[in-house]
Amino acid sequence: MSPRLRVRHASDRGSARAGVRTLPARGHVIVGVGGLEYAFDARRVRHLLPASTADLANGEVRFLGRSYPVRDLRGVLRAVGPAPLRRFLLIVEGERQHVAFVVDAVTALLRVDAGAVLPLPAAFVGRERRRFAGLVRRQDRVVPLLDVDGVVE
Amino acid sequence: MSVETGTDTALDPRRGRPADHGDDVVVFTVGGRRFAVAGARVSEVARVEVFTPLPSDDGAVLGVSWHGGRVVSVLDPWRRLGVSRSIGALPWLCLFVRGRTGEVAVPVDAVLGFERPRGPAAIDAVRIVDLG
Repeated sequence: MSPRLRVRHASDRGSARAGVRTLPARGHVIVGVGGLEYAFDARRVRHLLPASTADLANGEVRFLGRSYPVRDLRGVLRAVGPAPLRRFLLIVEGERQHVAFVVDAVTALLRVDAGAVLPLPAAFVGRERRRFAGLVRRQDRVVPLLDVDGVVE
Repeated sequence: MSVETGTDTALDPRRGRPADHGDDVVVFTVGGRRFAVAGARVSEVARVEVFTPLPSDDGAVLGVSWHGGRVVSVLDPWRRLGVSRSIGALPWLCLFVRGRTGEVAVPVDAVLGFERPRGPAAIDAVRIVDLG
């Protein structure tokens, strides 16, 4: 059973009981890459490991008997500035691709209702439409939601 | 020349934009050069303080901003307008323009105001651009 979040909407005022609706909640893992935040659908995330020098050099990591190619998100996302000495492998499984993404940090676990995940604006017309599945509302800003398969392809 | 002194409030339709600007252009500057965009397509002039970079293939779209309860794409004005200059630090004064791909925000140096085109000579040194 999927987690659900009780949400009271502004338009519901005046109806104390009937005004409380439930919307499906979605969990997101927020990662840091190059000083910026990106989100992964938590249902895609399998594990988080410290990244060793050997993992990065081999280009592959084994976890629970399965092999995952290592991909550094700094390159895909055109991150600038030096990478931190201590980094992490986020093991994720998409529809078609299973991969260990190298990230600088995992900054938050965020649960938001489905309405807080917004589509990418139409001004984005290139491959970014495959890399980013949408935008997750977080306080006064939005965090790009990464599509595992789109990022790898 | 029918140019008004531009202020954020004077150009914001939700704060009482004058009704007789239907055919006017909004004149703005980027990198010391003057440009203009159809006034009817300008929805707002405001400062963007929160910005999320989002790398795009063509580089013309810098990212997005959560502004006034909506997501707005932020364009790279220098690349779009052919001006050689890099973007400065936040906050950015932005023209919000309704285009073919929805509403976009364009960082500018200054908004000079409305101008009524009366032929090419009347808006000397202004290049009318399509930001959509």
